[in-house]
Amino acid sequence: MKSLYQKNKSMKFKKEPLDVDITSLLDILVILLVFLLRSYNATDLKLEVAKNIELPNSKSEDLGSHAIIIQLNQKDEIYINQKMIGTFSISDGKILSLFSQLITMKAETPEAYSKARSPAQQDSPTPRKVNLVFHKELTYDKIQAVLHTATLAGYSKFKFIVQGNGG
Amino acid sequence: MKKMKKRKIPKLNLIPIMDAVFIFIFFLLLSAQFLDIHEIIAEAPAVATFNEQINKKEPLNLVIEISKGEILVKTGLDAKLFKKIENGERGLDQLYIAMIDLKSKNIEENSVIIRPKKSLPYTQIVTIMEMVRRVRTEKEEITGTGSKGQIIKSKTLFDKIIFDSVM
Repeated sequence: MKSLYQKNKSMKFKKEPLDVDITSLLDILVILLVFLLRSYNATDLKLEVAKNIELPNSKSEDLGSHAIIIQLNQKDEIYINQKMIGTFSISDGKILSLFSQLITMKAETPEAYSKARSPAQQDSPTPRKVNLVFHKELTYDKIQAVLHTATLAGYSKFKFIVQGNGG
Repeated sequence: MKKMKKRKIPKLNLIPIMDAVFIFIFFLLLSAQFLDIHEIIAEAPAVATFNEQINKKEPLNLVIEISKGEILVKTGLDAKLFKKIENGERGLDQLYIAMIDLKSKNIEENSVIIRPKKSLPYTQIVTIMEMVRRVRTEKEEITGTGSKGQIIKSKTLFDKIIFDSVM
């Protein structure tokens, strides 16, 4: 006696291609795509905001660009390029930890800068830039100390990083 | 009556589109920065000496002194008080009007020196920087007469911000 399975097997079924309804998946993908396109930022500045920093809001539309990033948070911790270098303390009119770090970085980069610039520009040195990320409640005396230290280290162009109204 | 033939609608092959959309989503997900970051450019004070006077007109030398209670707008080499404004929401509007007034009279000038008090919070400094940089809406335009008598139109106010960072 043939088993039920064998009976079924012997029966000839027409194989039809399986239709998977992907409409709902496509809906989700389109929504995701629109959301990602809206939040896409064309800036070459990659910034991870340090702990205890809340950026001030601004209507500025200028996109950030790559440069050394100095961050100072509510707990007076100073970060350079996402790496903590010490806490805020002034001696000799400047923040020593920040100053020495900036001098080191300045010594490491002149070649890269001269390669990036055209020969015509090499005679007139472009001012070195720093991105400044401060907690919104910090007082100006601390900001002034950072600006002063950066200027002494040879970085005279400041770019204050702020949060756009959309973010 | 003629019998209408049922025409089969051909199925669209969505597979290549789905592939492309998937790749696009991965690219956007990896490059997404969900914080809407912008920048406000400022500079450290620089000292320059000129052997001969280029312009007969006295420079504007716009200085904004900010304290918690008031904003002082000073102009000229002798830092003459141009306007005293109460620091607050209404005061910001008055500051903006004063900036438009000054810009229309000195259309070729674009720098402002900002001198905040040490105890002033960063967020207030950012707000004032916003006010003095450019016009509020795209439609606004300031018209003034240049040094050679030509009509100049501008959408920016004083976008070259210099911080009095010397401690």
